[in-house]
Amino acid sequence: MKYLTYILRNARRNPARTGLTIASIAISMFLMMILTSFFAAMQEANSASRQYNRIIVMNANGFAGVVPIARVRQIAAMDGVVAATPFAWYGGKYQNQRVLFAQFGVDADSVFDTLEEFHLPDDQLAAFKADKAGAVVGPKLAREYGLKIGDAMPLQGDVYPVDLKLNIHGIYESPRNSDQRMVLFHHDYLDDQLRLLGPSSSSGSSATQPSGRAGNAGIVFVRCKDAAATAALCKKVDDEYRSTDNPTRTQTEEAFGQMFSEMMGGMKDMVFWIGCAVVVSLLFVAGNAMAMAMRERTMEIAVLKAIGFGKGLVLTLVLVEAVLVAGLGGALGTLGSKALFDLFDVSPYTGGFLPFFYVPWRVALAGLGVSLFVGFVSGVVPAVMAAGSSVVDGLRKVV
Amino acid sequence: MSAPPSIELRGVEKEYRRDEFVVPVLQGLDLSVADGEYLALMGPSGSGKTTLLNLVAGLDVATRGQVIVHGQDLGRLSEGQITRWRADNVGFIFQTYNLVPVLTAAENVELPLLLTKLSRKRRRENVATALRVVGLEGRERHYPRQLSGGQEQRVAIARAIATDPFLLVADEPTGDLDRGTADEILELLEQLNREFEKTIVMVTHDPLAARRAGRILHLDKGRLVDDVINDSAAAAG
Ligand SMILES: Nc1ncnc2c1ncn2[C@@H]1O[C@H](COP(=O)(O)OP(=O)(O)O)[C@@H](O)[C@H]1O
Ligand SMILES: [Mg+2]
Repeated sequence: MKYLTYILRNARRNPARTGLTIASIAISMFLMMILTSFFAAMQEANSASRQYNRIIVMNANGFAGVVPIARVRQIAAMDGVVAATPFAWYGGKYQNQRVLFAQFGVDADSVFDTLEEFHLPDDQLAAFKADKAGAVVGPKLAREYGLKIGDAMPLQGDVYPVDLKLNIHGIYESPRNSDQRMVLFHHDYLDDQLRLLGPSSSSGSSATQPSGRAGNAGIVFVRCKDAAATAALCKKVDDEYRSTDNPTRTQTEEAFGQMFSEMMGGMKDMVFWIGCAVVVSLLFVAGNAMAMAMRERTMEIAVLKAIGFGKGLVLTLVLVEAVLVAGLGGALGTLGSKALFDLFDVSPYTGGFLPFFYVPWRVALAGLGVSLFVGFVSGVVPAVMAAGSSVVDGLRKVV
Repeated sequence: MSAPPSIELRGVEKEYRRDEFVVPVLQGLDLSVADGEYLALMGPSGSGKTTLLNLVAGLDVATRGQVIVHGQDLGRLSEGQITRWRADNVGFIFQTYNLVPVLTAAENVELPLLLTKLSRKRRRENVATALRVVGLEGRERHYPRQLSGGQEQRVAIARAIATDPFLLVADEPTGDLDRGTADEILELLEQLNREFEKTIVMVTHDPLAARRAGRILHLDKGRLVDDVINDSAAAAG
């Protein structure tokens, strides 16, 4: 486009003003990326879990209730089940600090069959299985704490009145959008320690009494043989235990994740409205900057029209300039945040709240789209004014 | 001169409306200008010189009467058509040069050429030619702020002639220049009229400037009060 030189020079005409416009759009978009990506990344991981054909068994009363450990075997034996493992939250301290990573008691024999996207080299897996106090850790956690195979990892009980003296036998690998900061250890080891404290009450309703947790699985991850089997198995498991002391609630892993994000449904709405407010204020910021630029160029626009620049062309030039400026700010904010979080892992600083965080492409591109839209809309009024302004009046301003 | 009229004004009136008040600016104007004529338009401030220039250049429309250029009644053209017509036929020169400050001399001169179908290469050639005509070769990459007033006005003249229009309109082109520089600019306009046969209509307050034109018109309170052939200029030419 032969007019591009003129447009670009105009955009750079008042570097401070253009810079401020770009900066406000970039910063707003950056913050919007963080707010929206939080939900979008979670959603994406959720939807991605569909491919693994897993269902999750929890107590019908939610996390306050328990699932007896014996059921892991019963469920694993059901038709259509490939593997099943308990997932018991330990929530201990490490190095006397309340730690910011998840520790789960699992079944060493089945956990890597159940979580097929998690990988552990055979020798490490064998070593893990062979040592009841063995543990495997996520790669990010290993990096952060400088953990190596062969290291001891003592955890102090916080929720439970028992300590765990774990030995690290492996470092697993897993996809980017999974928790790479977990400690997985033998559920049996935790259970043994709890049993040593005394007889457990089998009622299972005594979640507030930690010793009563012995013999309980937390939740159960179940891998089904295919997607078609998941719905039937959810029903089958729940039917099986309906009339027991601990009826279950079984759902797909995606639905389970959905449940979590629904807990934050109100926040989602809030983020949406914040986003709308941001867009409106950006419209004013960008629109005002563009209107100021046009006012300064009244004479020049009159000259351009005098020498034959038509209304449509003037309109286009102004609009393209507005879209370029806003687009540049948007690109900085959206692609910048994407690049930043791709390169720089914030999970250690979120208190374990976000095991992974990244800006999904569709969020970044949507943000860029919104920025271009902001540019276009903010440019419309100044552009129409410039296009419709009188040549004769514009020229008189100078003389 | 027996050349067919290039520009013809017939019974032209121009008024501005302000609320209920109607301000008559030009009244009962008849004028005929031949191709290749060099006109100086004089008169006191507010007498309607700029308004008349705007009508002739197709920037404004008469309230009554006709402005006919090369047989074309400008009043009948649509806004888009008249814009196109200006691009093809008129070069503008202003008192304050009105260059685009963020564009170089060459880029300023190229502006009207962007509206044509010329290739980039041809545009560059035309720009070079126009800058050579005004004596500014070597200044292509200078920005207006890096040029003197006289040089800026030369760039503006180069911009006005870049598309080779037949008509140049100049509103007090030397109003902001010192005597010496003004004379150089006037020399240039004369040359454009003589060698390139441009029809020129120039508004000026400066009698020395007017004396260079082949014909001098005097406006007073919106009426044409004097219209003389300037023999001294003709003799000089
Ligand atoms: N847009 C306008 N509205 C009202 N009056 C105007 C407008 N433009 C010019 N005039 C008036 O028209 C008269 C002639 O103006 P102009 O052609 O600029 O005179 P000159 O160029 O001879 O000084 C002046 O009295 C001026 O105030
Ligand atoms: Mg005037």
